[in-house]
Amino acid sequence: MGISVCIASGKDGVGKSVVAANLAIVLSSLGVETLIVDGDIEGASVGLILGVDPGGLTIHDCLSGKADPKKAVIEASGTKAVIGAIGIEQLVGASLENFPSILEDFTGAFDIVLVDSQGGLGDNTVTVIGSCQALLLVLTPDIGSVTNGLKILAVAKKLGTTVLGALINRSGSPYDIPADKIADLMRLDVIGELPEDETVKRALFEGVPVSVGYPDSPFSKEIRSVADKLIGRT
Amino acid sequence: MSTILVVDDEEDIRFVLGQMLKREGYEVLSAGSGEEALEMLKKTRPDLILLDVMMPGLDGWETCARIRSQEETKDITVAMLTAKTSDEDKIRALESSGANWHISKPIDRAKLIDTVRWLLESPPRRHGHGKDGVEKGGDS
Repeated sequence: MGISVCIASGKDGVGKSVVAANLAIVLSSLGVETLIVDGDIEGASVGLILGVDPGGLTIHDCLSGKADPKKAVIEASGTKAVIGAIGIEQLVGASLENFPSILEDFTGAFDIVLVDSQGGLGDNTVTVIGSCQALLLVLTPDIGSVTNGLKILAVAKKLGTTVLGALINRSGSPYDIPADKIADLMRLDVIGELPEDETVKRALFEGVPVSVGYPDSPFSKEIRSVADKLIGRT
Repeated sequence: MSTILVVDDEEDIRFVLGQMLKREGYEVLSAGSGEEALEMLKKTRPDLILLDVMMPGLDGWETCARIRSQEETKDITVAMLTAKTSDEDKIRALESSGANWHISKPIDRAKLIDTVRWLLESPPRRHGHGKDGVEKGGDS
């Protein structure tokens, strides 16, 4: 039985899905049986980040009962993934009611199931956090992201979801809140500081995951370090 | 030399904090209540306020809100220094009360000094500008 880890952020736009997708790729490359599931059913983006052509089965098909979840697992960029639909007709009215049981099936078949959740604290996010055993908080080093991150931590604690730590994304500005201050305020480990890195945007533009297209970029190196820490290699 | 105003109803804490901060070369002022702090702010402008939350009379939340509501004091850097350390308390400090940061009691001397240094070296956050922007936007 593996572990399900929600990748969460207190607000959209912090780079959570890019972090989640690349972390899945790197964990897979290290020999960990990893699945990434797009749990952001209103704004799915894992497929785009992994460079998957749309048209196959999605988490939306699983949630609506139209597809067997195991058949929706695809291989992409060296990892396994269940991506979300991007068609408006599938997004409207999508529900996560069946998500906990689907996730349990996946957790039985993989070492780690990363679930990219919706940003913020809407009902969908709360359902995903409550369905997962553990949570990784992605935030940017600014006061808004930190404050909203505290709200995610409060919800995770109430739901009994273990908080593994925080990943600070887009760091490197002199006006960043320092990582040690964030760790101290939030009382959690900062597992990684992912730098602001133009190759991330370039990779998104090119439709290739940054850790695949640019493995020597500062972001890719740090995501490997994060993966090492998560599986206890460092 | 930066000036720090310590606001706490407990005299022992004011004394200990004062000693710690003076040793680092800061000028320290102290107030035993929110009311006293607001009165002091009419005459003096510290670079940083370390503000306790649980005080009789005006508590730290309300004191901070009043500091933010006055043109002369709204941009002073305020850190809540408190034993109220739940996530909800921290959110309240940073969001509703408008504090710049939250420091948990009991005090860890090294962390406190490091945080004070960081807050004083950071540019002050400007408060109360969003409201004007919205009103102007609505008029146009």
